[in-house]
Amino acid sequence: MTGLIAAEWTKLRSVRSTPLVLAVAAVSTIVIAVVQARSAASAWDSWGPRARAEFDPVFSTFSGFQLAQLAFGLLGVLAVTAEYGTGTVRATFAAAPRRGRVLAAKLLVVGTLTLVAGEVLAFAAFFAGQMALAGKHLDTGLGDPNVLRAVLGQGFYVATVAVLGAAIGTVLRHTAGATALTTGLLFLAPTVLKAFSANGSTALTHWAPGVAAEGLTWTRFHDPEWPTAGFALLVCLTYLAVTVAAAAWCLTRRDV
Amino acid sequence: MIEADELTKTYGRRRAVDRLTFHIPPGRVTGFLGPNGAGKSSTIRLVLGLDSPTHGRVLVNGRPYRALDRPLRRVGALLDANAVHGGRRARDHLRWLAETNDIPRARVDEVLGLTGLTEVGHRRVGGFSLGMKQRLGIAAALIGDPEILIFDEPVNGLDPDGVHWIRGLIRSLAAEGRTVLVSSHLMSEMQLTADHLLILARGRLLSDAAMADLVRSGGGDVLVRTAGDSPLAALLTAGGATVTPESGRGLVVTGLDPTRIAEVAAAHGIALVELTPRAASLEEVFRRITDPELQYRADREGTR
Repeated sequence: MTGLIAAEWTKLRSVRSTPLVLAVAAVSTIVIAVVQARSAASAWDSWGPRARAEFDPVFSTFSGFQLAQLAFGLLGVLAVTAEYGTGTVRATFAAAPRRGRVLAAKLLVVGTLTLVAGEVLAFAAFFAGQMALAGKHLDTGLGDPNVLRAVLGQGFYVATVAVLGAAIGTVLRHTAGATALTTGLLFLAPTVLKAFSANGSTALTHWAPGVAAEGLTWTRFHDPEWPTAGFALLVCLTYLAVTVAAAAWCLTRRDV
Repeated sequence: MIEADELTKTYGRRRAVDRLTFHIPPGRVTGFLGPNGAGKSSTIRLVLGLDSPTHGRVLVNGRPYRALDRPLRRVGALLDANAVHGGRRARDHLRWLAETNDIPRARVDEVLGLTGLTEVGHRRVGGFSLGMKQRLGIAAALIGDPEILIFDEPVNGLDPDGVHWIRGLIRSLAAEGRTVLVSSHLMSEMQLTADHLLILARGRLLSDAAMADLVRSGGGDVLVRTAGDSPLAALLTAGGATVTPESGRGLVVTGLDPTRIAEVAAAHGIALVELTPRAASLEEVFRRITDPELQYRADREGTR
């Protein structure tokens, strides 16, 4: 198993898409955190009481992660579908015929890399954003209520999306299809679930991954449409369990 | 050693591999010959456990491939030289393969050297010519120093130097006592490399024979030339031969061996300037084995 993990790590780091995707994620999260913090600080005096009440020093500066989650999802999708697209997958399964183990090694490597990268970016975006807010004394610290959970939760969420992408990639085996489904799940699920919901009910919409992200990353202001952090974590873990089980089921039963 | 027993694979309604039974022993080059679509690549995928058989089984050293521990140390395969990620460096491609089977990293440099790729090991595979990718595929097959080697269409896209190199490599691997299976649709290439042939068409095994026997069974003919005009053709026909005239006073004789032809000529004082026994080419044998009538019958049996 250590050999398979080493091999998956070599595969992931030896293609250009991996550093490229992480670089895009880094630029979008940190730059957007600074830009949003600055514009909030400069507009603060003109805001009414409602806008001020809804301002969340962490959540409001983490919008860049909505873009970055796409990059993370793509990283996960490509880690699998690039093998199918190029045909490398036949070499993979000839070298390691126990496919469940290969999947486990791949998801472990994708999950670990994106969790580390996600947490690094979450903390970097947090500190960059708070520095820009400090001029107006709008900033918050890691010791304040919910803040550490929000920062850790944001890193965890993008890693979840990456593993989700890899699992969907394993089921669909095509880059375009898997990217479309992953993106759709992230951006269209809230709209679709809302259409099926009774007026004002959040029972369904709380199951959209994007809404779970909001539940994980709020600190001072909590919109009633968002789930609690605990429920959001449950949603993430459920998505992981279901898609990974589907991936394992498909992989071990299909011809390569 | 590779053994197939009633091996069958159906994709949808198409039977790609149809009740194949064969065994491939070590120490010789076994050729897998058949036109495109004959089921060669499908059979190889079944051997490697990439696809599951619909019926029957195939064993590698007495075990199903998927039950092998560290299979690259037992079996090396070149499937499709283009099946590599173009953005990855050649050395990294071999490195991850080695890691899957706990093969020491030093072996990566060894196989790069064996295949003449040392100088380009750091380059991304996307910039490789087909010939270089073919060499990389062979390096990958050799990475675990396996006793069984499978090469699917190894000479495709190679220049004459490359073809010569790969022929020598295949022969030397078999001479070292390894089991070597080479598939090709090129009959001339098979005649130069294989000791034994499995001939496939439409998923079925049509022939399982030593190359020498196969060529001998083709019969062949004798080319005879005389110094001047002579009644030799009539004499040989009277002796039971079939004679076809060729340009330059040549006669193509079948049905009589060269000794008999020489005796007939001597008995009548005819001077010969050429007497050449010619073996049938594998191509003729192959065409006869896979002739349409036979395939038609095979089809009818298959759908019965």
